[in-house]
Amino acid sequence: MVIMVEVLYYPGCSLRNTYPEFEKSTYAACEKLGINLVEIPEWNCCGVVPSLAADNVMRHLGAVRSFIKAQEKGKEIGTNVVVTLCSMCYNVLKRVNLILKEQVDTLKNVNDFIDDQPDYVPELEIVHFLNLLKNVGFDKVKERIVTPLRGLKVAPYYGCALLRPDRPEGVPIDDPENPTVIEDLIRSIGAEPVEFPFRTECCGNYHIVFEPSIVEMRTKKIIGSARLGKADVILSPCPLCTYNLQHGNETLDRSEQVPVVFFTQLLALSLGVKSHLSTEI
Amino acid sequence: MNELAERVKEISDQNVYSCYQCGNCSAGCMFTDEMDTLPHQVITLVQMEDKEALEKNTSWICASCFVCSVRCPRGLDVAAIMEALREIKIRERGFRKIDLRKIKDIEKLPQIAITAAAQKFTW
Repeated sequence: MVIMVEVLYYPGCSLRNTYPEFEKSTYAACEKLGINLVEIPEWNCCGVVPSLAADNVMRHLGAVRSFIKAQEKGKEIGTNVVVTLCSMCYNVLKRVNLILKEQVDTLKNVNDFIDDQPDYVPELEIVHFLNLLKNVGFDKVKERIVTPLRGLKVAPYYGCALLRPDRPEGVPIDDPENPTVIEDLIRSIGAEPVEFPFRTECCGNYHIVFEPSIVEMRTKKIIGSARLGKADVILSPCPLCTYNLQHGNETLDRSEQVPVVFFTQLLALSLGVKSHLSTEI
Repeated sequence: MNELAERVKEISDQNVYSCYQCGNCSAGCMFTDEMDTLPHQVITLVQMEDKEALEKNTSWICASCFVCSVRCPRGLDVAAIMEALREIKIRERGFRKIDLRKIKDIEKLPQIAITAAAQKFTW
């Protein structure tokens, strides 16, 4: 396959430890699509939730350390585009990067603090894999599909981190209230997106750690909504949403459950790679 | 501006007096079932310098999903106000680690869940 696109790639912790199928299916799909993902050397945790306190920049540091590594690697291969898969990593990297582009003082502050590395010059662009696909073109993706998933009804779940907040400007990968990018992907792989009013609602996030009942309340509603749309499967872009939705499934009767997969798993399947789905699905 | 509102502004860069109590944040919030006070009511408390705002569970239930912030017609980042209220409490009581022994299924949970909880509850 001719390489059409070469970008820097930030994997994030959850892909390496909890959900390797998310990453493996992505690599397999990228090989078919001619996308070369160059992993950032020595990347570290993004911090997961960026600070909302204007006076707390400590929480930006995890992201910035990875930016510095990305910046140096980017110089070698000639790109400033960093692609992420995990929604939460995307949200943190995107927001911190935009904040550093806007706020000269904050940039100086973090650069002074990280004194064992070269300074970060905020010229990277953070892109979510879905938008990379959109930029490549869903029509181009469609051309490469060898196993269209005809008749499969898919509930596109967006969650929060890809769509919100809307400031700094440029964080959402699509319209925060009426996104279509996952639907476009579903159509391009030959499947059918279902109407799904809870698709942009929160799964309960980190409450799974200390108050799982909150997550159960949220995810039951989301799964129920997908089931009303007669979805065969829920497509998730986020490791934590996936974990929470699967937790929600476990509290439901088998007949009420809807399996949850990562969008790249169905993408890889339709591109002719068979090995990244569990046998249940 | 009262002292509490001033402190919230310092931390979140949000002016609570912009709020005109339309209730849009509370209408869209997915977690109100768990809250003892609705988000727009908490903002009223801050406007009136009622320290009860810090004792309500609202800011701790808020999971920063940002539906309120996206929908606020006054352009307030409501989630950031909730974070400011959390931060005021956390900074008063001092840094505290989360108790890992209290986490069920710690081996199964994705790291992002534990790290996010640690960020939100301990800083």
